[in-house]
Amino acid sequence: MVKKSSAKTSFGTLQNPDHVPNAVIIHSSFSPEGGLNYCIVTPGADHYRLRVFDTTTGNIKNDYEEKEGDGKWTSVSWGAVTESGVNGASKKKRRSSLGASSPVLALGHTNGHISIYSLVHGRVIHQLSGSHTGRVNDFCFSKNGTRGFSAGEDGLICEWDIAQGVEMSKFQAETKSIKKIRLNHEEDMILTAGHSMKLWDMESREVIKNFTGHASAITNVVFSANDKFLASTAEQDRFINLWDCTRENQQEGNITALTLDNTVSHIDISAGNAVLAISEEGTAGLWQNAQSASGTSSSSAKASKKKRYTTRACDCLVKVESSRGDNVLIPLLAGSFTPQGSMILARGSTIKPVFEKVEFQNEDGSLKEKEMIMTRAPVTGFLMDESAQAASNLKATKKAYDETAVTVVGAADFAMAAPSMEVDSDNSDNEEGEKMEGRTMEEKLQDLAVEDSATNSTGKKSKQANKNKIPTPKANSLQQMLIQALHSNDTQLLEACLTFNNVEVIRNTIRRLPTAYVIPFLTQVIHKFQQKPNRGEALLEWIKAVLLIHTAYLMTVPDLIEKLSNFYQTLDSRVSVFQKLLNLHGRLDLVMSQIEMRQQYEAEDTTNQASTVYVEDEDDEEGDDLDLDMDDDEDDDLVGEADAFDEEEMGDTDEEELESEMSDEDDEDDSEDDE
Amino acid sequence: MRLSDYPVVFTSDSNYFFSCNSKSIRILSVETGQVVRILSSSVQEGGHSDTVTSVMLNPKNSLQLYSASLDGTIKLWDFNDAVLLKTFEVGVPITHMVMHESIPNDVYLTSTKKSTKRFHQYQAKKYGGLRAKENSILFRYSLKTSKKRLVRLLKTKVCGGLAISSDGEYVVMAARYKLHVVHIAPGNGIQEGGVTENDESRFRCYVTPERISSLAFHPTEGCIATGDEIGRITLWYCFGKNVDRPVTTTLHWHAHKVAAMNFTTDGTYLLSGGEESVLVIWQLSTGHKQFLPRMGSEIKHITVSPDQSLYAIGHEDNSVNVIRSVDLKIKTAIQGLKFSHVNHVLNPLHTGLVIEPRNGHVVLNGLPGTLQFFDPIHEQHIMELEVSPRNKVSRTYEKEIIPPQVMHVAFSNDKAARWMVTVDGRDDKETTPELYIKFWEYDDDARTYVLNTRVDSPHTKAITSCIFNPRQGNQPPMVVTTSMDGNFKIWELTHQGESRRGIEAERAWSCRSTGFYRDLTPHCAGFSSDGSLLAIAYGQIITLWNPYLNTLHGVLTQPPETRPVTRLTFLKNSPFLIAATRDHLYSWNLLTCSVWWSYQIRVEQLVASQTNSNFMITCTDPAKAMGGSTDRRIIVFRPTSPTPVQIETVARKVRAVTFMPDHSTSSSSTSTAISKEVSDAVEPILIMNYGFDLEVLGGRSAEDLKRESDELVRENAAAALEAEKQKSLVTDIFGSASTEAAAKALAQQQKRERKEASRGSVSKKNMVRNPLFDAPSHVMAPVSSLFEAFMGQLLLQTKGAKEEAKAARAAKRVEEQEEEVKANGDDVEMQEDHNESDDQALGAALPPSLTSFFSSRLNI
Repeated sequence: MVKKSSAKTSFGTLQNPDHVPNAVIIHSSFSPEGGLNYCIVTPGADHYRLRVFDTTTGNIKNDYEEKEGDGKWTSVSWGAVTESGVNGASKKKRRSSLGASSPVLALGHTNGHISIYSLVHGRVIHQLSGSHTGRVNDFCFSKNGTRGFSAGEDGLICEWDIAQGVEMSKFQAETKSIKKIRLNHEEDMILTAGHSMKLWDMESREVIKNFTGHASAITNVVFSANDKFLASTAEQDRFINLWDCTRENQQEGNITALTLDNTVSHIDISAGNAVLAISEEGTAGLWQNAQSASGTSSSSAKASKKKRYTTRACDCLVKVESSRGDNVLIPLLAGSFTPQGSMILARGSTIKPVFEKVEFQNEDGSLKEKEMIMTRAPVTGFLMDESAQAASNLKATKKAYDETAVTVVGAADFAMAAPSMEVDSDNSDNEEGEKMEGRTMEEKLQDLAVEDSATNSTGKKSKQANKNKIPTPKANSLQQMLIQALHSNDTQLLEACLTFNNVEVIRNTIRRLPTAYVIPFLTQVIHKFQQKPNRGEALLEWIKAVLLIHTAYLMTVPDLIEKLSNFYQTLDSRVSVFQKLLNLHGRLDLVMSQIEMRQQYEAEDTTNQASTVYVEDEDDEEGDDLDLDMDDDEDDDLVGEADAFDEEEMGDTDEEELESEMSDEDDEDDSEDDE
Repeated sequence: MRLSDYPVVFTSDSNYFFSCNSKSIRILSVETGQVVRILSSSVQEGGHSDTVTSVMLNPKNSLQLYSASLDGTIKLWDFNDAVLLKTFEVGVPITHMVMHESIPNDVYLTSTKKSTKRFHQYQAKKYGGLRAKENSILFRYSLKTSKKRLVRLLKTKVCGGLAISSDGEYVVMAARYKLHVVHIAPGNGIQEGGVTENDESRFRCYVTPERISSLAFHPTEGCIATGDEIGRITLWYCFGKNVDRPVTTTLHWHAHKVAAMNFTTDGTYLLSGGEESVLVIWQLSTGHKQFLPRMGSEIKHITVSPDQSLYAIGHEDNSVNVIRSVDLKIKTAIQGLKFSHVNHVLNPLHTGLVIEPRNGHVVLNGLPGTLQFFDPIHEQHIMELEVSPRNKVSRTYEKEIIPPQVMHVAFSNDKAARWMVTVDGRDDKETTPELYIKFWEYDDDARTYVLNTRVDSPHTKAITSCIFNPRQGNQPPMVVTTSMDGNFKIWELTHQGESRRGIEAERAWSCRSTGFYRDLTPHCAGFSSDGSLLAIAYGQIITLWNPYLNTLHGVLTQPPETRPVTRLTFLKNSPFLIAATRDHLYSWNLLTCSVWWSYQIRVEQLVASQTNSNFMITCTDPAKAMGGSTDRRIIVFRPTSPTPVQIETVARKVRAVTFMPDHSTSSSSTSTAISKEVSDAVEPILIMNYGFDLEVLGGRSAEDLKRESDELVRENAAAALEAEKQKSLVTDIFGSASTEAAAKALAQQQKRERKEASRGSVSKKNMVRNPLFDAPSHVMAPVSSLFEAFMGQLLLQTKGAKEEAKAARAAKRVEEQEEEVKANGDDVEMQEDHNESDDQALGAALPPSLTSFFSSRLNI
């Protein structure tokens, strides 16, 4: 009996449609062989809605609802058919010219019908019916896409010829219902699963093995790539059982059990025998080399309880957290391995799932980390205009230019062209910066005090000197103000200083500026100069004064070249425009003087102008029409061509005019729109 | 995939449509927009051998399709089964085709004919055939009668459209300024065979003041619609053989050429579109207009489905949008390769084909200013990324607007391809040229690349190359750009500001260092696979730099030749550097700093594999180059040997070429043993062919290669055995053919060795003396310490030089003899100087870092 699932989301298996009013997801799975497509079935008003997403772009490829019939599918399974199906009314046997097989989905119904839905055609291309009396629980395709096997509630297994739509054979596998049916990769064994599992031989239709162990109905079975073992999950069960399915080993063959914290909804086995499982709460677990029965230490207690089982917790737990910092888990909807050795995960809402390829292995094949927590923004903006799916898809693939988070680097930020940079200047710069910022307030205060006294003393000295030399104080220096501004990093005060543009004041101030402040002042000014190029004129005077007066000191500074390189480059990049500006200026000058001359000329000329001018406006349309009708010379005169060569060349040079006049140049007409 | 070259055609049930795709015809589903079936997929199976220009449903049987092609055939297909039913050999290239159910055996078609005039031929030659003046001829072709099937009716200028009236009474043809109307209905004293050229009364010609750009026939009434160059639509009523001046009505909305026009099936509406990207729907009875603006790209073709519920709009950017007529919403959008359709003269393929490591998609120039991400295997458009912002405005004047161009694109080499760098700019020769480097970071949430840093005018002149440092590990990513201004700049990701609690420091790219070499212009650059060595080609000189310290490590100069190095690449996990000049290909071994082998070959492209040390070149077919053949060869090499691993021949010019990541092999390479084997395999090759379409050429797996080499060994053994067997009296006396061959091989071997010896000393000379004079003096060791080694070298040199000269003379003699012997021999002239034993030793020993190797060399 099927247990009623009260879980919010239930995947993988198909619940009885009558029992799952709350289920958000009826089915979700990736297409096999790389997970290029992802299909999700959600309940609609009175039918289910099937949507297929393209995992590379995240767009909806197909959106299908079955309007006729009950429209509530009981099984959804992936397959590929090589015959790309029917078109129109013709019913002959078809041969496809498409080399590649096209993906299809088999949809089972409660009344025993099976529809084969083609993703390429966007509609059902085959109907298989007439064998099952009850509902169809599962369907599986052979690799070449010609055959399929269905399992029903009635315990029957049917083999179908898909292209013809007829039943090839059927047999009673169980008395009770069969929930799952799988073919192994070799396609020589069939596995059926109800509450227990049976492994059948394809040819003889005999049971090879019986596997029992799950307490509830089995929801999912996967064969490993080498067909050595299989993994199964069951309803309300957090164990994944691994079974030995080789023909040689005749024992019952439970190898191990893998555990997750919650009911398992999805499993997949990679080519390297890693197992990926998605739990119902939306986290994923990864096990490497799953078939090796090495239980972890923590599982010993459980091992004693379930006597022959050794269980393993997952090697790597994958979670997706919301980047909004509210610790909300974004649920994973499905997961699958890709042939490239990574895994693809679907997450988020059922309306607009997000697909991401995740690398879980290092180059050497070991797992990257024990717990993989990805922080991603939750997807919002679900409101989608259903009628314009294609338009929204189109828009989604068009990435407009966005400059919101950009850092702009200009000419001033480049390193100087230097033959060598053996001393890595960047690092030393950074260290200095850190040192400056790393100082405590106390240290800064101490520095302040010391420097204050120092400046005060020098200030006094200079004042005394001034007093000695010039008895009357002059207000032509901003020295104190500037020192204060630099010392306290007071931008306003500094700005106030810099507004002065009297050359004498500037010279005086700079001359009296203590050498300790020269470099800070210079960097400040250069910074301002770079920020606002318009202020160049005023600021350059200050910079010039510093360079003039403190040349001797500046030459002693060790890393001056680096500090000034920015300034140099800024100037350089600006100077490069000068030539063009000069050109422009010259031209403007020419134009302006010409205008001036003309005006002068006109002013002189006004006396000679006629007082009234009569303009004759004539209608020459009719004349044109006559011209047009005249040229109808169609046939080429092959003999005369060579002689006419020169004339044609003449004609061709001014073809543009001739075209508008519609002369008889028909033969010369160009085929420009050839491309 | 070329979708919108020619108008699409719907099936009678409007569920599918046909699209001409160069030589094949695709059937696409309206519902999903995916390819359902391909007709005419290969010439071997009876497909067309040239571009398919027109398709139409069989008027008698709507499950059959007629297709006409430039190869001069009409083919009839059963499109459900994709089976060729019949081929009609018309014999002239067909550009347009119409037929009608009332005359089921007649097809009216137009063909082009190159002008016979001398001047036109000259012009065609001059402009590469593009501007070839062609005349169009209207033919009537009979599908039934066996005698005189093709009847010539009319010769005109280039045909701009061909249409047939709904009742099958008239055929109209637009030819530049003229509209030709042919009355084709039987009766009225016309014999059963239909119209011939002589029935002058049946031909009528009307002249229009503007060039006709599109043509459509009303489905129910006798009305023709023509669109012209200046955007007017003219409706012609009451035409016919006796009418000189038909009644016309003009509809004018379009500002530019009316590129496409069609009536709805019941004839109540007329749809028109053009450069404005606006679909205009005219209600003919009232003149009322309805617009569907912002279609995304210029409209080229309009098709209406038979049930009138769908409009298929073919666009200039190689896409088809199927629009529902009820609500004018897009039902299905199919996007092909955008670059196929842009103006290739104004917008050449700057970026080439770049493989994005994350998904293995190919990235290339899309519309101007954008990049397109495309899945070449599934022929699926993935994403269009706008690199430079641009308002899409249609021009107001005749002059074309110069759009911005994306010049380079590169991806960081980690598997996640976290960073992308693009170079774009715009130069209309009037205003100041713009140039930007943009650094993009992959955003997991947005699933696209998001702009991180923009650098304004990073160089004063055009950037010649832009590549990522392929180093692995946790070091910040690094990019190098070289420019025509003589500088190369190294860019690195840096943290700006400090990181505070929880908030990461802002990351931005900045210029780490700038370098130059003499005052030469760098043309290309390459990083070694461990990222420790940067090679930059300045003219014919290759300079080797340490990218971290910006120091010059070494200088490699090409042997005698003075042509500049145009292409340069390091190979993955190998100490070889491949350089190509205009007519030579060199393989440098950096362990000995010598040329390992070289070819005299005209290299057009050079691409290195990302997974192994294979590389490929494209070149003209040397065997046929003399005959003016357009054949191109793609040759795959291993660095160690000049023997090609694989040769592919392509019919015409290859626009771009790259290796495709092979997913099928990488999956199985879980164990290291397998991955080693895989590393030899030649990956599939992705090319952009002459027709701007992507094509995948098969690669070869390691097993194939192994099998081949085994076979070669076995063959040799068999040949030896054969020689043994054939030993008879006669052969003993005169020598057998095979022994002769063996002797020849021996001689060749000797020649090679001799040549190798001489070459070796030449390159040695280069290697020892040139760096001494090329490196800046301050990075050199003191002269006193160099003196002894240098003088010793010089002394050796003179001694060696004599030997060398002698050897060279001897080699030359042998060579001359050999040349005569193997006049019919190899098609590629080789200049080999490699040695088998060295070869192996070299493959094994690879120093941990090339930089350390170079510094050790300099310390000697």
